[in-house]
Amino acid sequence: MNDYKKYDDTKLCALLGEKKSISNEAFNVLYSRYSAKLKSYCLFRTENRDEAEELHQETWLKFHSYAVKGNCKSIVLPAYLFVIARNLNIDKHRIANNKNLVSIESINYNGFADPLNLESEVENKEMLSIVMIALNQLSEKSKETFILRWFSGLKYSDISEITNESVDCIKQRSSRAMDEIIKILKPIIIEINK
Amino acid sequence: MNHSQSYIDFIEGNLAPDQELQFAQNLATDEEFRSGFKGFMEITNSINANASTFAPTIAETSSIYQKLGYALPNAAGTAILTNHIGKVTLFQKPLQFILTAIPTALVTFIITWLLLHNGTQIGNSEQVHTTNTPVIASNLTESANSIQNKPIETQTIVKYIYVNNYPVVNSQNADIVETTQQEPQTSEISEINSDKDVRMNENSNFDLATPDNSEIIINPQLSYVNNSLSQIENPQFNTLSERKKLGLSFEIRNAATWNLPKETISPSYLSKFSNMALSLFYNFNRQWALGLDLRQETFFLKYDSWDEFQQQYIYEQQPNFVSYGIVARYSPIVYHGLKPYIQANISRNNFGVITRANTGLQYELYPNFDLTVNLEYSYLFFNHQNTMYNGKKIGLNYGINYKF
Repeated sequence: MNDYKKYDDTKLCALLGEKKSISNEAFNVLYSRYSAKLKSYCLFRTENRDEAEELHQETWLKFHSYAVKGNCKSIVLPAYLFVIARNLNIDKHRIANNKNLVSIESINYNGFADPLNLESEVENKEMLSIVMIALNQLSEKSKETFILRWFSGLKYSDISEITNESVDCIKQRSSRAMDEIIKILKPIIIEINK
Repeated sequence: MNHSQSYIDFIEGNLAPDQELQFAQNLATDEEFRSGFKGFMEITNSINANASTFAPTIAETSSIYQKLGYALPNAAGTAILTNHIGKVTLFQKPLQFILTAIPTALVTFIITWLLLHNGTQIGNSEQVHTTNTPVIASNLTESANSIQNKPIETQTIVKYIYVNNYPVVNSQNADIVETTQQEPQTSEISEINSDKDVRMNENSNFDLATPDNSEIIINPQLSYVNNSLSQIENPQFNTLSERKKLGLSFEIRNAATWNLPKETISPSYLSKFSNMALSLFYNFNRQWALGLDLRQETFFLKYDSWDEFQQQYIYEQQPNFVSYGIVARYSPIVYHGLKPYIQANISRNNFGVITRANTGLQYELYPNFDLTVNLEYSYLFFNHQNTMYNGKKIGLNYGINYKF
């Protein structure tokens, strides 16, 4: 039996056009690689839980329909997925621009890295909610770059593909966004460290 | 100052040795640099620690897979399924039963209707052969018209009435019943005619309006003729009817099931024919039958396992299976159409092996057509990461059985 986990994205995308049993396996690997990253991006882009789920779903469906047509050579993952999500969201907001701010309470916490350290849980949750509030202070471009870099965990080269900007520009914007967040959170961080 | 790039480069190992030294020196001497680095670590740690917070839910994943026509991966599905513990709504379970019962009820209704419809026709045709009345009535009408134009020739009235074509024991002409109208001057009975049709020689004074006071005289050679096919004990009849039987019977059932332990999650989707089963039996004799069994079902499975990093997981899932297997049925007695039975079954699906034991009752609602109900205990063995696990459930099966 093939271990599809060892395959690179391009090979897996090509397999999506194969018979069902193979394409199912290939999709499983791609989905496990990028669904969480993509979902976090969708959540921050839409700032609404239901819309994020819808956007996430539409993105995968659109990606799949494109991949099965055999246009895989031109696909660069994960950038392609994020571009689809980005464009779908832009299209949607052109039609209706009604956004609800996402609150930390509305996010379903599925678990934490260290389930035994309850104190650490609380601190992480608090810090995360503060980071998310601070994010809204940033410009749209900086915010997007920060999310793609830190929440979705993409490389600068991938972000560059998505935003259609140079890697250097993205690198600089990302570090500046981080500096701004640190600056905003400085008093809180000092308080926490006391 | 923009220090974040230095922090990132340091974390990612992109700094040259002399830059690393500079970084360490800055940490040691520059308060702002140090607090900035602490802030950077706090922020990135909180994001990384909550990465799973943003993962898609099982409902979302399931919906995507369903729209693409893919099956959810077992391990991934189970791991995510645990997020939905306790989300079985009050009406979900009854709704599942109702939805799955509909196709069974529909099939049952169609088969029943067809059987009863055909059965009525068969009943009528049998009645023509076994009942005197319609034969007399139809032939009287025909004959009466011809009689009315005939001159009076004789006063003897003899009726030969053909009753049926079935052979009757102890009589070569057992299918003929002779009747005569009793009149004082003509009590003569003519010879028994082997002709199958009704023959009437009557005088023109025969009055249709007059009540037929004819008396049925049974040929002494004839034995008792029973008009009811169901009560015929003549071995010749049984031979005739058994000649048509193939010894096969087909059974379709639905089931209400109770998982052990009680399920805490619902399936991400249910198959269209969930809890429906089809069986084809070969009846060796009245007691023993062996057959093939095919069914769509779910099992609630809960078990512990470890991943490659030795992290323990509790898997909870309720997958859909198509199980196929063999079944043996033993019916010790038949009493007034009721046939209790015990049954053993072994089935296979893509997850493991299922053994089942059940006991039930069959009721002959109509010839060749039985209602069946049974109580079943199912035990699923399956392998996960080289360890054997099991799932159990109790089911109440109900359906119909048709013998060919």
